Amino acid sequence: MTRPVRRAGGWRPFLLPALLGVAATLAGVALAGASGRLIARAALRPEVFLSLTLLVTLVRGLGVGRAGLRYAERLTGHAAALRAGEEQRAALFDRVSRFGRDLLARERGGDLLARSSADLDARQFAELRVTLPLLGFAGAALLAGGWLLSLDARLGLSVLGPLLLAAALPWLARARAAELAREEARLAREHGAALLDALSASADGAAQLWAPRLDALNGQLRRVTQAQGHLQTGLTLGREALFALTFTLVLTRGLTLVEAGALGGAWLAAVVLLAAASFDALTPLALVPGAHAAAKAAQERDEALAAVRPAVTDPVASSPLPPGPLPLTLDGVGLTRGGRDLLRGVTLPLPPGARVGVTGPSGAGKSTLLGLISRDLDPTAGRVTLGGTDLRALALADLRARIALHEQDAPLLDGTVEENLRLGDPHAPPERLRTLLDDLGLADLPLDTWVGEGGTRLSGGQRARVSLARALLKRSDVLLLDEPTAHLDPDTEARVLRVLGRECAGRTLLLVTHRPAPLILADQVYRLQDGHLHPLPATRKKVI
Amino acid sequence: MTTAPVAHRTRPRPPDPVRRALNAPPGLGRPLALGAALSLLGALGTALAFVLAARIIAGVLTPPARLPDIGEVLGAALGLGVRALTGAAREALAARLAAHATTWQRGRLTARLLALGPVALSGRRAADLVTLSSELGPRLAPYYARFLPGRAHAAICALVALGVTAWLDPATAALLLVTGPLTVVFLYLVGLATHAATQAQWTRHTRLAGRLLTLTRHLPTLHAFGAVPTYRDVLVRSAGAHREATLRVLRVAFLSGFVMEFAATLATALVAVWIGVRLFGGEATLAPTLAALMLVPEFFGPLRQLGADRHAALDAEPLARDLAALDAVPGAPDGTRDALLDAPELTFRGARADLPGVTATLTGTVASGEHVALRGPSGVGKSALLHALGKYVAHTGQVTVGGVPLDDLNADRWARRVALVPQAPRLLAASVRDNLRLAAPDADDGALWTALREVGLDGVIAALPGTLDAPLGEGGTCLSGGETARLALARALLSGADLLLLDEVTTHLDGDTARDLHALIGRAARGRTVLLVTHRDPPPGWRTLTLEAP
Repeated sequence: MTRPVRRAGGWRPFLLPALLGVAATLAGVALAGASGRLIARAALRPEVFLSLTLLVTLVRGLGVGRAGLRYAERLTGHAAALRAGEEQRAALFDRVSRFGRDLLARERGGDLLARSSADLDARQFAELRVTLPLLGFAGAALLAGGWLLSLDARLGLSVLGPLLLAAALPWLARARAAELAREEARLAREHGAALLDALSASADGAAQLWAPRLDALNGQLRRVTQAQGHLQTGLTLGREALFALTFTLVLTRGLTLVEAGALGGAWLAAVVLLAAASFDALTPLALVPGAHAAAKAAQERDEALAAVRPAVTDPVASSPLPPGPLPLTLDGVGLTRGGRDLLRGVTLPLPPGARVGVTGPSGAGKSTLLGLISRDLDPTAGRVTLGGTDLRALALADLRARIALHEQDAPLLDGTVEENLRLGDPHAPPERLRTLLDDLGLADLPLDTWVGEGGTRLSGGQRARVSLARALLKRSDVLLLDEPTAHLDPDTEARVLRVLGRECAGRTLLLVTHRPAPLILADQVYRLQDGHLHPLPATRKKVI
Repeated sequence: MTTAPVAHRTRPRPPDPVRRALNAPPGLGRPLALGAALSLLGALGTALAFVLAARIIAGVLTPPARLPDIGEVLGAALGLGVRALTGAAREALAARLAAHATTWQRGRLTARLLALGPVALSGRRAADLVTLSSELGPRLAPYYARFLPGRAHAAICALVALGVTAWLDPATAALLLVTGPLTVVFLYLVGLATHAATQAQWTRHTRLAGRLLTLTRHLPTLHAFGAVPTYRDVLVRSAGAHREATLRVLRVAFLSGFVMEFAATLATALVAVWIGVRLFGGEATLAPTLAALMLVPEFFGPLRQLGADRHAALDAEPLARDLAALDAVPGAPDGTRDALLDAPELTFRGARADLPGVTATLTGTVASGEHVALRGPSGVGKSALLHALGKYVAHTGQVTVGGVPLDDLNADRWARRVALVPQAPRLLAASVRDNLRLAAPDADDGALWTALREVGLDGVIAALPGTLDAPLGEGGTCLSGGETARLALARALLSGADLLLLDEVTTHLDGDTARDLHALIGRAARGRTVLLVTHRDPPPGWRTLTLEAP
């Protein structure tokens, strides 16, 4: 799953488009040659027009055929590239999905991810933009050059030499081009970051302090753009100069050959036109180094993504979980992040059927506590066990199958309300879904409502309740609820709490809240403060 | 060729503000005119070379055979040399034009964003702004380097090729005159036929790319519910359907390329055959007709290139639209006067920010050094009013500072008197020290510790490994919401501003933490004028001003 994706499906699918591409390029070169031959022969006024018929047919055929061949090449090439892209897309999803619940917490991972879509394009079309143009050019150069070589060695060399050199120019410049592109991207990123910093500072009236730095970066960017221009100018000059050279060489050598009687005069036009047309085959090569660099950079980023280790991984050999409700225990758990101790020696036994509430000030680590149980992260000290087994020894899928989770920000999938509820229980009868929503005060929310990206088309309160219903629907022994009533008014809150009381009968409940009302569901309440978990006396729990 | 450009040449013309934003950089005219002159010179050089080459070939071929004089060969070489030099010069010119124009645009974007300050950050996501600045080069440079000069180049090359052909062999010119426009008509018709299909395909392509991103964003939820394999299947199936649909559309969309190729090669073939027939019949001579044949690709080549360059224009459009939108936000007028040196005294009469959607106005006064809570229903423009007070956006109604109208104040000097703490303050990915010295680069550690003590953060920072050197922000120490708010407050205190504008700094905090922070603001900001936007009960002893709906 982690091996780099190079060329899904191998080279085979690209064989047909490659052949078509070579044929199309050749047809273009041959068309020029045949046209020259045709009119030169015609100018000599042969006895009968019939002797020209073959050439006329050839010219017409090449004229029509070239466009058709090119069209077929593009179509078959895209079909192959799209098929390869499909496999790469799935592979990328696999690569990302192994991160589970912690990828987006990392800024670097997020950056790689944001680029991944463009990168998919770059890699998917690398064959079309790199391999096929190169093959087309090589085919044309070989055949045109070979024919001229067979006529006369010096004639052949005077075309092949400059032609290959002209093809090599962008290739020779590719390292410099890639370096400039990287430099441009780096400076642009730095400029963006400085801009953001300046805007943050602007609130304190200090934006102007950043102006010199931003100006300097802009100046550097200008120099990079100019350097890119110089490179391009050099390439153009080289290509055009080589064209001029070829044309002149072929013309003079051809004249010498005609003079010596080694070449029929009627062939001269064909040779000159063919040499000129073979330079047309160079045009698509100009884009090759850029496309190659993009594909390579994409490949490197892909490998970087593959190299990022998920914070939480499946054990090599997982322990089996016995069926039925199991005790869940936090045992001397400590957690250090960014140099700060978030949790210290937290011990919390949750026997089957226990109902526990945790409260505490903002940022005390209440949600983190739930994350340790759903294994979004692992403790730095102590352990969390289910049925006596350390969570790190359990398969992630086995563990998460036993847990139902409602998160504070209630993330919903883009889709319908029903699609979201069915994540909890794919086989629940529709009436069960409907009744649960009605009970939660969502009687006017149809099951086929589209929830929008991340659930944004629903109000905060609606979203929270759909997410709650989804967690309740899941057939699991442990229910983890993070701020279950955060966005609700007091009446709705009371209503939701009644449903929760009913639905979590017989299940282990751990709820985290900074509002006092949900704590009536709990038999035991703890306060999390300064990394420690303090049990609150049962009598105090109602007044918190 | 990606699947993306499938939508090319079929979208409607960009609206005017976009075009205006693209053509805004000064000094575009001269290099473009110079480029056109070079195009003309290059095209003439090419024509000269081909005409002479054709004459040489015809000379040795048609009886009485004559050998070319050296002048003709040198002339052809010279023509091609001119072509090479002008081509390179055009390239250099285009590169300079692109460097100049993108630098100008980036400078303007930066200045515009800095003038808008926190307003620029409030309406949109920070990531979008970074994208805007980092995409500016790759998206705009091809527009200035290729598309702008390319139009004139294509027209000039085609016209020169046509003109020279007309002089050499009117019959061939007539053929080009028919096939050229006919090609354009065909391209237009193909464009019409594929318009709807390519649009739909473009949408579908974006959706599929979006779907992958969305699914990865939803991975936490999918994992929690064990639904990853199910959704992987969905993704693979939709990608398959997408491929088939794309190919159906490409079959049509590639027709425009086909038409272009077909026209170019068929025209060459037609010209060659027709010339052949006329030469056979003795109605034409070889030299001019051969030159005409050689010029046919010079007629179609630039047209084909222009089609490819249109991508550059289409790529630049979305970015130019964003630039134009930023330009449309009204900035506050700048003045020359200064506010009195005391903590500012503010008077509002029917005042509101001059932004669309902002309707509620404020009337009332805030005495020098007074702490006032600003309230009103959500979305009526409380934050926007704070932005207007900082002179980041224009306002309507009347706002005076110690009797001086806000509009008459010098913006730069006023900005130094005001500190605004936004709802979600951004920490730099830098040390605690650098974060604190954001607006006071010269503050020493003693001053920093004093400010930290005032906001009750000295204990937390002292406990960090490295204390003031501890890294914050991305990848650094995580501060809680309350701690971040207090750090931003310390930053504002250090800046020396005597007007503090605090925008819902307690929204994400629980009741106790929020009460603590309110009390702390009251203590730490003594002697400074404070305007606090809040949804909660105002801190005890603070006066409340309320925005009124019209």
